[in-house]
Amino acid sequence: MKSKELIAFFILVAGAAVMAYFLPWWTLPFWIIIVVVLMKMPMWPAIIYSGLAMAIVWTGFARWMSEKDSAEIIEKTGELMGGISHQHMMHITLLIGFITGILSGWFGGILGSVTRSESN
Amino acid sequence: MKQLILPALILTSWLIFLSVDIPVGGNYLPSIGRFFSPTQGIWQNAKAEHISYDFKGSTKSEVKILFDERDVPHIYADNIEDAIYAQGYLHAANRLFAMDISSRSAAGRLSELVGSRTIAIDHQQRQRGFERSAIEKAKNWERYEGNKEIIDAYVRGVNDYISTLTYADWPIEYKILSHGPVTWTPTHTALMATNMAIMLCLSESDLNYTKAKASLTAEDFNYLFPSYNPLESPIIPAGTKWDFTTMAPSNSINVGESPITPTDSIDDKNQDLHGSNNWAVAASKTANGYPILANDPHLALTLPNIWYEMEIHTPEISVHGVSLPGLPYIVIGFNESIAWGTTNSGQDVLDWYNIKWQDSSRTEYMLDGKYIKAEMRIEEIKVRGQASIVDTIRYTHWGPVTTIGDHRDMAMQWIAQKRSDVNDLAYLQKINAAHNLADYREAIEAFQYPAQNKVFASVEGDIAISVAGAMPHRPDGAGLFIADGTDSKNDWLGFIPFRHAPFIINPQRGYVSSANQSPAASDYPYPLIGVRYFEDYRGRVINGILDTMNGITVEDMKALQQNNFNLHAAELLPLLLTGLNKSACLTAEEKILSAKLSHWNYEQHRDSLSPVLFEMWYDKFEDMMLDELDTMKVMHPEDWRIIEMVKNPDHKYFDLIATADSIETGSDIICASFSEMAKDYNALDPSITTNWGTYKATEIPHLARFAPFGIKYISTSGGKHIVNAQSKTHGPSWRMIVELSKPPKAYVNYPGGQSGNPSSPHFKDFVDGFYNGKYYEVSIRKDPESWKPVRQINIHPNEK
Repeated sequence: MKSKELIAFFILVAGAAVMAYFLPWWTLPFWIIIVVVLMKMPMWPAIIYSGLAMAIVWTGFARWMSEKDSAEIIEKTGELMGGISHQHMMHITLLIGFITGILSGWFGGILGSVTRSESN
Repeated sequence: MKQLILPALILTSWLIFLSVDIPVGGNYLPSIGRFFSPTQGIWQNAKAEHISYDFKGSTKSEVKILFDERDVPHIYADNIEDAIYAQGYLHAANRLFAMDISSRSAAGRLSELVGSRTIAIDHQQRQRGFERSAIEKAKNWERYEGNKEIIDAYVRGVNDYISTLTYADWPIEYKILSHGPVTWTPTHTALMATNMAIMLCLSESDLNYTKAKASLTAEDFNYLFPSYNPLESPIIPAGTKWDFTTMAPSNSINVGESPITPTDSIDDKNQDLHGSNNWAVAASKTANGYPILANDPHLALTLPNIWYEMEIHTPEISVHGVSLPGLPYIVIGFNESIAWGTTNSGQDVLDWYNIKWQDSSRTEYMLDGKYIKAEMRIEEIKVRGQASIVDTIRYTHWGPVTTIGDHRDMAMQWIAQKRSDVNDLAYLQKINAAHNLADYREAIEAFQYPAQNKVFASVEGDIAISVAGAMPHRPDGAGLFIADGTDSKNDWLGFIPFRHAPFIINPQRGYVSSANQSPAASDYPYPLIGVRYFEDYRGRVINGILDTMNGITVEDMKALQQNNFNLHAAELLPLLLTGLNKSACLTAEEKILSAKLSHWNYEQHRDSLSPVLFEMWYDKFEDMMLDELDTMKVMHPEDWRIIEMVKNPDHKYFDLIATADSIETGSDIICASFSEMAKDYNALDPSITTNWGTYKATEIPHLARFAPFGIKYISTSGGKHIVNAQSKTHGPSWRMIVELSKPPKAYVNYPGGQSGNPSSPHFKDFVDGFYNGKYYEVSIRKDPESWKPVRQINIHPNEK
């Protein structure tokens, strides 16, 4: 991982974590797109790091909430939704975050390359 | 730029997919983006929520809410409006979803929340006009002095809590349904009162009685369904002198042409209602020389529990007990001077009238020889995810015209619709603040419905019980059958005046009690019609024990509330076993089972096997004996009447109609039913036949039937006809014993917990203790500085 990409990745994670805490979930793709464009991230790193950043942030928060005393509610909600275990609820959360990150990174990567080529 | 189109489309589609509710069968999968968002969705519901905080509320002055170790709030306010504001806030914080779904259920608005699954329920509620009468009730409350301020304070409290909620804070049920809470209004509060009336006084058997009358000879009908059980131990003891005459001579009812024919099929809607108990014993009968009051109202059990325990302090009142979320004040409880409790009276306060329309347009109906226009009201039932359903509801002189089974021309006259113009909120205001017997009687006078037995005891040493609430005064013969709706002479003549309603103060026998039995013996001057869901076995056990007891302690009262003696079995089983032994019809294997039953002490204990055998045998026996009635689809007589029939082994009902060439006797049916029972018992899964607790398998479902949030199995004692009337899904919802010392001391518990949040440690923390006989000692904590709360909420007046 190049240092610039590493910095971009940390910015993605930190910003996504702050935004996730204070803003609605659908604002995160905008953050990712902005960071990818401004940091001029190439396509594949943008996709991978965005997906990883979202997966880390969502899973991290979910894991943190799972440490709470009342986490059995997740198990019960999963049961209500057709017998999904706590672990699978975590996997679904990870997957939704990861896909959202990938798609946001993909769009951001293309938008960045388009804006860069137009400005050149 | 073209390169952007595909990723933009895919990203947008993905975000839309995550943002919409997806219909799956009759349900909705909530929008999964926000649902799984760890900072807003379900993961947030794993947070502990029991914290201290301050907030600015619309109160006149500071309010302190101190929570004790059971998370019971103690509200300290300078005036009653602020206290009620805090109560509304706490109800919303702990029962918001329950309040919402209960008021929606009464109004017929469930389908707006859950979709097409509840259309039939909503349609029925709209037909019965419950929301309309609640709107009237809410308007009328405000006409009476002081009510508006109280209701407004309560509603503000609820809405101020709701206004603090973001999606992340929604109760989990709302997240699952992907639908947020709605603004609370006085109509919602009126709907909660209506909902309680629906639970307690909407049951009746008019259709069943009409069907039975149409199917049986008069002789058989009168024998099977006598109007009074001579074994009853009524609430007001037989022989009480009634020093009044009825308010008006009764007309005779014009029954008219029966709309029910022998071929009609009527479901016997006997619900799984086993009853409630209350009593108060005089100081002369207790060990400590103080009156003791006990109450355990029985309801359908749910999580969260229907009640919310709390204590309210203002300069005028200090009161502790259970409140009904959605309504202000304490419903059952005690203050520094008195204690009060309630059981359902079981009086029939709903009558049906057969409507004769002029033509198929059903716009005009016959009344007293003339056609009268029905009031037509359009009801729109909004259904989530599909087009609304529009129906025209017809209102007649009697009430709304409602569909019952195949009968769509029945008008319904129900007490809660007739008495929406009275100030029944005054009852709660007055009983919370009552100091003595006179205050209690004044409060009772304001009570309207459902008719209830209000027990009372005071630190001054008085005990009393009153049958409270409006009870229809009907023409002779009315109330039991569907009446002719073309004749206004069939209408109620009014209501039994308060001073004529049954009550008793400081009786000679040293106690008062009720267990849903008849309010008074057959010599009571007004005709009383009870719904046929409650028989008097519990009342007889309670009165029998209280008659003989002296030096009564709180522990005795706890034991009586949890008494498991099955008087019904004690009266029936010896007759059945005698028949069995005389016939000598059992196999060796069956003899083992009968030997177990013959050694039973009639205690319906959860660890005992005998109740399983008895209940299974009785079910078989009853069905075999009354096969004629089942064939005609006529309801069964009450259990006490069946025992009377068993005493005559040659009774005609023992003969099986399926065996035309032989005549069966009582012994034949006793043997055959035992043999059938033994076969069924041996075929049962061994895991559920070990004892009564596993066989009955009590459960406490979640209010919205979200199964994982409920309790699927609890082993409990008790059952039908037993003081501890715990069935599979119904039973004691609150147990309270108050010793009227100065100050009073109470012992309470209920099968639930203080929080309505399934993830809270206080959601169901009382349940295990409740079913193991645990009570919590409670006394009024008048001084907030005298005890250390576990947590605290401070409400500061909003300066604007």
